Amino acid sequence: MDVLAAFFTSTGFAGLTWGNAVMLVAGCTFITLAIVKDYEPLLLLPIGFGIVVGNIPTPEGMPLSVYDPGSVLSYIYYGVREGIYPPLIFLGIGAMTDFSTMLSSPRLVLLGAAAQAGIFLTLLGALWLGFPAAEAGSIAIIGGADGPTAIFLSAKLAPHLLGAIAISAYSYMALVPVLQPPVMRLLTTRAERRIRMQAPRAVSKREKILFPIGGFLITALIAPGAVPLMGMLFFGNLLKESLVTDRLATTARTALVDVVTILLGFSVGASTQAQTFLTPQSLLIFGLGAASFVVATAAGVLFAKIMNLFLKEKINPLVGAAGVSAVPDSARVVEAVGREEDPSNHLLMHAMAPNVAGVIGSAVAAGILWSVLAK
Amino acid sequence: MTAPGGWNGIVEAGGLSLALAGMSVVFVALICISLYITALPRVLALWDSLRPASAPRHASPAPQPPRVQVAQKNAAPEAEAAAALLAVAILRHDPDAAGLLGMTTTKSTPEN
Repeated sequence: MDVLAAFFTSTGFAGLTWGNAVMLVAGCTFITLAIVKDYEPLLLLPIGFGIVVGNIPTPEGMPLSVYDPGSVLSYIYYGVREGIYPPLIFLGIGAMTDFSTMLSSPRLVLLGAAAQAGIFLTLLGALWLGFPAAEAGSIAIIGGADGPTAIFLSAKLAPHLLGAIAISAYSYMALVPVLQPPVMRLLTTRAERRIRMQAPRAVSKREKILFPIGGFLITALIAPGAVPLMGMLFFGNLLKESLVTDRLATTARTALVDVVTILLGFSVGASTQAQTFLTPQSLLIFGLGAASFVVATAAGVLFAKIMNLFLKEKINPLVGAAGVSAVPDSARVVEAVGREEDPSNHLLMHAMAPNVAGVIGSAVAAGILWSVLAK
Repeated sequence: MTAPGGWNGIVEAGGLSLALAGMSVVFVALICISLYITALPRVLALWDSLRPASAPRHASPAPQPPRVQVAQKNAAPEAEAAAALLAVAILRHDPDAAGLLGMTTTKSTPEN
């Protein structure tokens, strides 16, 4: 009987807290959203299962969780903790991104900058709520709507908040189709939503090859803190566009990015143990994350409207909402909202320009925050 | 959360200047990229106009002479070749005409 009692104390049931139970439900909700609703399944499913794994109570003295030195999960989590996975994901993103629409519409690049207002206004909000500067910077980057960037900066500035920030960033990215449309409709008139834009011009192969080289030099020299992310993004894009490294580009955008996504999603999920995750801070982070998405969307749309005051060929202001990174979901949302007003008006190609510019903008913002706030 | 929070929290952390400077730097970076991609096609066009004309690196190669020698037009006397071709054509397709030319041929039958 004593043996049975001793065994029971070593099972997960004995150590299960209400917090673990809540997180197990949260993990299962993520998995359900991924499978049933198809919300960012490539991310939410690994994260959801990671949450479930991370919240199984472990016996004392057994190194099992991501925070236990020497555990298997801690080795997988190493890539998150040290900021290794995000640049590798950026390599894959670069190898799968076609910058043609951005190259053909230079003025739309500015919308990708305007939407980064969400980051810096959230920074002020987090400072107002009493977060120290480094934590505020990590929370603010959620407004960049870029999961890898958020993880990279949090790992550098506030590793103890990494789980909450990563979950918040990816949750809101999955909720882009829910969060953005009301803001877009609120800030635009029906006539504005029906504006048609000229078809983008054809971009030559040489432009596509020269862009990643010049783009990297510009961003890296202006914000050296963005070198790991920008370097890998533009390197991946050069692999794709040069046409002489097809094998490398194919590996980067398929096998490599898939492997890293699995490891990153799973280990981030496993890091959300109830004891460290279920805190009032996490609730504030979630609130600030939602606010930053709304502000970023509004800033992009309003900036497009301001640009229209000076432009002969008007921009459909909906396109500004795509400046919040979240490639390609926010561009798809722009297309959907635009077609509600005019089913024959296709905005997807135009929205991709601020969308990829937003990726660059949020990485530059992360570089700035890292270089200023790192001690 | 150990910072004072409120307006003091923003001021003490230099939040306003960081937000303004950060936003400005992001704009500067993306304006530079915008200018770069605006100038790129023009610079390439200028480069092409300055460069001496030469065959493009990836242009299709000049046609090579065939390895197998084929009969040239002047390999046989033109009149003889034409007459031979005419005869073959008539024999194969028009036996009546072949008869008019003094040539005989077998008429194809349905059984053939």
